[in-house]
Amino acid sequence: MRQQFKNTINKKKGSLAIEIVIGMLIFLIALSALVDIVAIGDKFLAISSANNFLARTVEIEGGILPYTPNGFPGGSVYINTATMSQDIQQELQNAGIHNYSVTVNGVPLSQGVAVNYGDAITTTITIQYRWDLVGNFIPGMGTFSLTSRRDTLSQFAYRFGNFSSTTPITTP
Amino acid sequence: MRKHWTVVLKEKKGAFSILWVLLIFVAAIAATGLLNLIELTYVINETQSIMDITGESQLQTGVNDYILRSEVFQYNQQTMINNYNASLSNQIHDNGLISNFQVLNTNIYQQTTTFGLGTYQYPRPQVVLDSTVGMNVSVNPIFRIAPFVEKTFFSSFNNSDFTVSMQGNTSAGQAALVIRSVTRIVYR
Repeated sequence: MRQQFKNTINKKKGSLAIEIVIGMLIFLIALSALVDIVAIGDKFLAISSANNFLARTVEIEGGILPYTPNGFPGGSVYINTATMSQDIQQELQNAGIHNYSVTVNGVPLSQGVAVNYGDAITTTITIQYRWDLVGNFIPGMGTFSLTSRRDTLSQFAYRFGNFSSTTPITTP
Repeated sequence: MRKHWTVVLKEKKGAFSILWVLLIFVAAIAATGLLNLIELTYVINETQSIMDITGESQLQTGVNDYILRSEVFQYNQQTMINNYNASLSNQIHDNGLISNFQVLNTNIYQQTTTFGLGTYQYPRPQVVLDSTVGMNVSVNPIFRIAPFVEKTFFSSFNNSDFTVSMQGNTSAGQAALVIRSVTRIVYR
């Protein structure tokens, strides 16, 4: 086998074929990278858009809960944890993202969290993505992670009961 | 050298290799350029979104809630600007991709108008935050994308143009970005 290959190389017979195969392989990797980059760009846009929607919603709703809190204006328009999870899942899955985590103030979205007026809210979405096509040519490329973060403030005052109208509000 | 090439091309030895090398080289540059484009788009999207959300929430921190109970709309402009800049700096870090982040321009002004209120006929007090940030984003060193940016924006509230400029890092592999965000709160 080795002798045959040596003879082939020495006689330069078939060297063009080897050259074409190697060249084609490298060209295929480059082409796969182009396709992967477009797919990853789509994932980047999806995570940015999803976190924007999440941050805007928790800002207005003062966090997010599995149920509509007492006194929330509009009532039924409240987006609860189940609806938000479903919306984010749909948006991310449309971009081909299946491994992700969503937190509001460090708490998983499904649990929900109440944040009173003026308090800080931090939302994060972390996704795991791969170079799907290039990963077939280059083993051990592994999984990459990307986190999108937004900081905002709650704009909804919860009615916890026993509210005293004489409670002073700190002036800015 | 020239003779050597003439011989090579005439004998057509290795001519095919040159084509392959060129093709792969072009494909690699295209892939790198596209990757940089995706990264720049992501940075612009994220920064724009962060600025919009931060502006909206930090404007609220300057409003005097105590006096607002008496239906007097009073705010502290410096508090708004300080909180806004601090929050932006917390979220947009100087990291491997972004460097030299700076707030170029922050204007806060109050108007009592029907501007942007849709069919609502009565002028309402509103505070507008108009800000522009600049930053350098790392790209592949083979590209040198606009290390200096001068951009003219139109302010629909003032009905006039304004220009911001940013002198970024002039070394290769640095792209300067200027991003603007306008947010407001309306007292209804």
